[in-house]
Formats: sequence, structure tokens, C-alpha cells
Amino acid sequence: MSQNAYDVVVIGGGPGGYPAAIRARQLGLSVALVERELLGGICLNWGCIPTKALLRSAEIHHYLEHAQDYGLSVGSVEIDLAAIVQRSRKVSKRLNTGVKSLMKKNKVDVYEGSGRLVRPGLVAIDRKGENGVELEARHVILATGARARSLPGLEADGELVWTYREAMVPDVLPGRLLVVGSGAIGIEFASFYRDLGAQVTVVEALPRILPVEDEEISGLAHKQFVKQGMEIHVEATVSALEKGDGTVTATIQTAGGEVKTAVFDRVILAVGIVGNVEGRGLENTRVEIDRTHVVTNGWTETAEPGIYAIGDVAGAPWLAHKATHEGVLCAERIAGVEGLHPMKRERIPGCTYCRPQIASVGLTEAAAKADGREIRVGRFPFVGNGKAIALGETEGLVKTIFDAKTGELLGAHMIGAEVTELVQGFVVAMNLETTEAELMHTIFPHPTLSEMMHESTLEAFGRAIHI
Amino acid sequence: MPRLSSDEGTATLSSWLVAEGDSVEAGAIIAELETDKATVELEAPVAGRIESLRVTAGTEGLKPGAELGRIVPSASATRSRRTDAEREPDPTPDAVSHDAREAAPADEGADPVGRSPATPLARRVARSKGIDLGRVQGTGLGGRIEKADVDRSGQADAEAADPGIQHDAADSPDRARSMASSGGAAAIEGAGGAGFSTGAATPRARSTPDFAGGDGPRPAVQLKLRCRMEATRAVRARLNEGLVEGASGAHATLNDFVVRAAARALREVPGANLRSEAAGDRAGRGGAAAVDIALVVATDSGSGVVRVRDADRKGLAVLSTEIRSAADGLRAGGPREVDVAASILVTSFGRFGIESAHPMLPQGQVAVLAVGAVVEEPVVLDGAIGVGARMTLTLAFDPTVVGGAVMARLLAAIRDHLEDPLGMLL
Repeated sequence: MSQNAYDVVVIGGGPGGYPAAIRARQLGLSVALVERELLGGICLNWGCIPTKALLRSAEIHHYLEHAQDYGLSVGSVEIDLAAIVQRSRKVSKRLNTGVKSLMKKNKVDVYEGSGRLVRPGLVAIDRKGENGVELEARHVILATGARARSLPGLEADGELVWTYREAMVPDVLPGRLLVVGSGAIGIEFASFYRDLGAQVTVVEALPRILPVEDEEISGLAHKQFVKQGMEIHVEATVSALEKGDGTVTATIQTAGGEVKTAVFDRVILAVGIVGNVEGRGLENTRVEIDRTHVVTNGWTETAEPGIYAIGDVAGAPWLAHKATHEGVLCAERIAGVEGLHPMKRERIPGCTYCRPQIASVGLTEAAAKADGREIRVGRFPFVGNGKAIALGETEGLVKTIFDAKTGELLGAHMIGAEVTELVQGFVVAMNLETTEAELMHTIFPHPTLSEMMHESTLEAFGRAIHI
Repeated sequence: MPRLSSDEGTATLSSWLVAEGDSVEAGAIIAELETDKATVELEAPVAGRIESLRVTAGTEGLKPGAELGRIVPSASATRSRRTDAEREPDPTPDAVSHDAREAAPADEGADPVGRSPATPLARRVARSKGIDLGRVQGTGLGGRIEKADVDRSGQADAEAADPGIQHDAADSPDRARSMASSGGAAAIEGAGGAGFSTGAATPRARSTPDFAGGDGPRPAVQLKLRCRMEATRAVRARLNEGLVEGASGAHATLNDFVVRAAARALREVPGANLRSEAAGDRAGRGGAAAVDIALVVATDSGSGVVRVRDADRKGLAVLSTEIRSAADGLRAGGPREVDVAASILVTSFGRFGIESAHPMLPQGQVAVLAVGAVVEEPVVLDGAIGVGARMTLTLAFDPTVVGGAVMARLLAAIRDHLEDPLGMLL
């Protein structure tokens, strides 16, 4: 094989691309990975990971502000924003280095630059100021990810109007912050800045915040955020942003139809993302694009044989663990591994790391009903759980949805402390097609928050002990 | 012990042509059976080794279904029965299987890597619907039976009893898969001299992608039997005599009779009328689903497929006319149906003199019936040597969608109609 020919060329080294490359190597294929910025992609460097580091600082700040509740006294708490940001950058850097060594260990050839398809089977790598390299590839995996979407009149300038990028490395704590969009990204930033003391306003166009979550959970989250001092407008839109001297005046149309203006120090735009499908040479192939993502089948295959797409560029849900799963599935598909199963979307969990945390998997109550099913719903509030009370975290709910006829676990929706770490139990249960009977017979450890998963199941069938 | 005639007669095993310990090819003649009407040869259903002969030569009064002996399928027989989809050996050096790969053939029927054969949900749904888990093919991890597999099995049209969920009731023990005969040995059974393939035991997890762009030919189990076609031939001759050439009732072909027999059989045999999920129909609506029959038709440029809808509701004359005009339309350059997921696809090789074929399953098709030529051969009729007409039917089906027992019943029903055609003409 010539030096520049590979079994698989992966374009993009994020949470989709690099696991795909590693798995393909494990299966004996020769692999090259092309990355134009940082290994680990958005997730490791400008997304999932650094935001969790930031949110951890905010969480600890929150505890320090309430130290007295726990019998501790702390003087006034100083916030060193630069240090908070530095910590998150250090975390990212550490993981980025980790991915580099994983690539070395697995003998993946990493090429720096922007990869594009000259034609099916040939990838060109463009590097600033250098002659491009070309790679022959029997298979090409598109893992180019996504970027923040802009709306007309709402464009980021990187100074006063931020996208997630700038929001992650703030130079200053805004006194008054406007967050446009209440998906996971917007809400996490809203929560972070609120917990550090900013005055936060959230504007959402749909009738409720966190629109993909179960309605009841959205409602509880809304209540909590308002209690924390956030101002939330649903069914509202921001029609204009006028930049002044270090401030932004936003024109907001509220649900009632009234138009109001308000002044903010910073604005964060979190109105969705678009796939990075441009400039990749896809027009030289039969790959189909639907609006802003690449069309794939259940096997990550595109319309062009030998070209695959995974992760954010392949569409919703825009989650790193979905990208990773697709990457592994794609590599296995290419290697001819037998007995593969297409990814089951309804078993992909979603987590939001605001305070209180939110985590869910499966059908919402509304979706289960719309399916025509007879369902049983179990609810267990945090306030009924011993550990939650001992922790001083009494706000939250564990909600489970079962098919009334078969006992199939259809969905689980949680809000409260640590629920992002609990949801995996329900995800495993779903993948094993467990029914309520097995969950009821499982002995959960005491005292833990996880007992609420048990009690919620019991409650669905009228057998809860602790409420 | 095969069924040798349409009446419930008995037979004598006149002689064994093999001994215990012999290795045989699939289809090899291993014994001679005698009824009061004819001598019939018994074929080995699989390649393998004769493990035991249970009945001595000369034993009379054998009824259909009686166990005559046991044959242990050879590894190559198992492999060839598995799938065409089996490609290069898995390159992974993993010793432990974390993935959904199948265990070695020797584990047929046993738990691959010790996994439970059915999920709790699948067990409960099967119990509430009265479905025998042993006849459900699992497509989950490691061949595990999942709820979707039970829903698809379409064996019972029984009303789903309200399970009144028993949280504490012990699950009824999973019935052992009927395919897993002791030690992998396959009993020699059959119907009408059929080779009964037990390849359906392979719990291969099959993937069904949402999109087209299929993954090539799918695993197919082949059932074969020979029909006595004397009666149908006679009826056809008489029918065609009465038809004036060129009048609205064209000559009926033997193929038309096969289609009619298949349509009736699909209506009669519960659970046999299935379509691939790729066709968009939910398999398992059994008797409620329409009986559509697709036929392969030869054209100048190769072949095409025509579809007859509601074939069970059309009499022979109507079927014959419809098939003829659809075929003519196709030959004249009419639109070709590409996706013809029908209850069954019939492909006939008879006019080329081909005696039998092992068809593959095209995308979207769950069952294919291959019809061979009618072969004239000497048979014993009323104590004298006469000329008999035998036609081989081969039924290929997707074992991950439907069980072997149902398809065997279907094939037997088709044969019964062809051997005694007056019933199906009404």
C-alpha cells in the first residue's frame, strides 16, 4: 500500500471521528484522521467538557454561598473569573493531549488540515500556506461536526453578542446577561452565569423552556430558575439587538404581544446548530444533504457507497455519545462485523448540567400517549428521599413511564441533584428490555438518590412505600 | 416418516440403503418405503452422518411422523445452511465476544456466550399472547429474543389476554427451542419425501436497515418436496379441452395451478402469509393480510415480476387471464414492479426442463417458491408399472421472520392441493 492510501479516512477528530478511527484500527483497518483544529473536537475543547468544568466552579460557588446551612462559615467569596476559565481550559487541554496519545497508541495517522472530498475515494487536505496532501481512501467517514446557528438580525460579533465559544471563555462577568434559546446549551450557560451572580434573562420562542424534555420536567425547571432569580420569557422572540457602548439593547416580543426593550451587558445566542457540510467537496459525490445535515441510513451510510457520516453533521440528536456510538457502528460496518444493530434513537439519554440537573431517556409522557398507548406514570419527589434531605437537595423529581399492558419501560425523566449520573440505570434497563417487575425486584442501595428510581417504579403501580 | 399420499395410509420400510455410521450427502437416497400403491425413495434431509436407524427393514405400519432414524448434520452442512451473508472471517482478535456475533455452529440452540434467550419483556408478551418462544427467532444481541421478534412471529392470532401485570409471578420457564434437538441431531422427518432442513435453528441476529440499499441476499432455509402431478395434469387437460383457443378463456398453464394452490394454502395455513417488514406491512397480521402472489416472468431482456393481488379470491380462470395479460404487458415494455414484496414469489423453471432450484430471497421478500419441471417416471399404479408425473417444489424462506414448521405446513398444503386439485378449483 502506498504511503497515502488508507482503508479508512476520517474527516474530523471529535467524539465521533476519533472513536471511529480507534475502532477501525482495532478491527485491523488502516486509518488516517484529518483534523483542522483540535483533537477531541468541539466536545472536548469547546463544548461538553469545558462547560462541565465551568459548571463545577459555579456549583461550588453556590455551596459556598450556602455554607451556613451546613454548619460552616466562610467569609465573602471572591470570584476569580480568569482562574475559573483557566481551569476549564486546563481540563480541555488534558483531554486533548489524551486523545493525541490514543491516536499514537492505536497507530492512527493524524493529518492536520481541513479535509475535503476531491471525488469518492480521494480526500484532499488543505493546510494554510502549504501544499495540500491527498489521501486515497476506500472508505471516508465524515465527522465534521456542527457550529452555532445565527438567525437574521441575531448575529454574534464575538464581543458583545456571544456564541457558546465566547461564553466559555468570558473576559468579564456580565452584570446583565440575555440568553436567547433555552435548549441544553442556553440553559447551561444561564445556570452558570446565574450561579456566579449575573442577572440572567432567558428568551424562548416555543411555549416552554427545554422543549425536548418532558413537559412536567420543563415546568419544574422553569419554577426552579425563577426561584433562583432568573427572568424567563417563553413564546417570546428577540427581534433586534442594538449594540451600544459596551452594552446591547434587545427588542423582545413577548407572548402577550407587547414589545419591550431591555439593556444587557452581554448576549448569548443559543438558537440551535447547523452541520458543517460546506466546503467538503460533497458536491463531487452522491452524498445528499437535507438542509444542514448529511442524510444517512441506520448504518451511517450516505447515498454514496463508501462515504459515511456520523455525529452532529449527520443530524439529531446532537450529542457526543450519539456520535461515538455512530462512529463505532460505522467502523464495524466497514469492517464487516456481523450481527450489528442500527442505533435505537429512543434509547439515547439526554443530560443537561444546569442546577438542578436534568436527565432523560425514552418517550415523554405526551409522546407515549400520542402513540396510542395506555401508560402508567410513576412520580417520586426528591423531598421523599432520605439521602436528598441529608444532602440538602430536596428539589427534584424522578418520573417513570411504563406501558400499562406489557410493563415495558418507555421513558424516564428526572430533575434534581446528580440525576445525570443516575439515568444510566434506566438506559441499561431499556436496553435489556426490562419490565417494571425486574426494576421492582432490584435492590437499590440505601441511602442513595438512586432509590428514587425504584420508588418511582413502585409508584407507577400504586406500590410506593415512601410516599 | 414422510407422508406418502394424501390419505392417512401407512407404509413399510422395505430396506435401508445406508448403515449406522455412514456419511451421506444431502438428498442421497437412504431407504426405500413401500405403500400399497407405490415404492418411494427416502432422501437424506441434510449432509451428515447416520447416527442411528430406529426402524428395522421390513417394519410395517409406519405412520407419517414416525421417527425412522437420526442423522447428525456435518459442520459443512451447518455452514452451508447458515447464510450467504457470512463473509470473510471476523478480523477481530477478541477472544471474548462483547459484540453481537454468533457462537460457533456447535452451539446451535444453546445460549451463545451464556446470554438469556429472551428479554423479560419478550417473555411476558409471548406469555400473554400464547406464543411459543421456542418458535420465535431472536434478532437481539447474541440472538436474544426481543419484544419486536415476538410481535413479528405472528404465530398466534389469539387475542392478547390482558396480562393484569403480575409483578411477582415467576416467569414461566422458557420452553427450550424446538430446533435444538438433543446434541444437534436432526430427526429424519418429512412430508411427501421432503428434505426437512433444520437450518432454521440458527439464531443469527439479522439486521434490517430502515433504508433500501439492502445487504444482499438474506439467509434462506430451503424446503423441498415432490408432488404427484397426475391429477392436476388430467384436470388441466380437461379444462383446456373445453376452452376454445383465442376465446376469452385462455389455456391454463400448470403454473396457474401452482399459483392457485399457493394462494389457497396461504389462506389456510395460519401464520404463513407474511411479508417482509421492509415492505412496510407489519408481518403477523396473518389471516387478515391480503394474499398477493408475485411471479417471475421471462421477457426478451431477461425477466420481470408481475403481481397478482388477492390471489386467494380469484378463481383459476381469472388468475390465468390476469397472469397472462400482466406478463404480456411486461414483455411489451410495460412498467416493471421493482419492489414486489408479496406473500410469496413464485418462480418457475419447468419450461427449461430444470427439475429443481434453490432460490435466494430478494430484498423485501420473505418466501420464494421455485417450481420445477414435471418429470415423467415409472411408478407403481394399481399394482402395475405406469407413468407418473412428479414435480419438485422448493420453498425458500427467511428463518428470522417465520418458523420452519409454519412454512413446512404451507408447502405441504400446496402439495395437497396440487395432488388433489378439485378442492381448490371450487
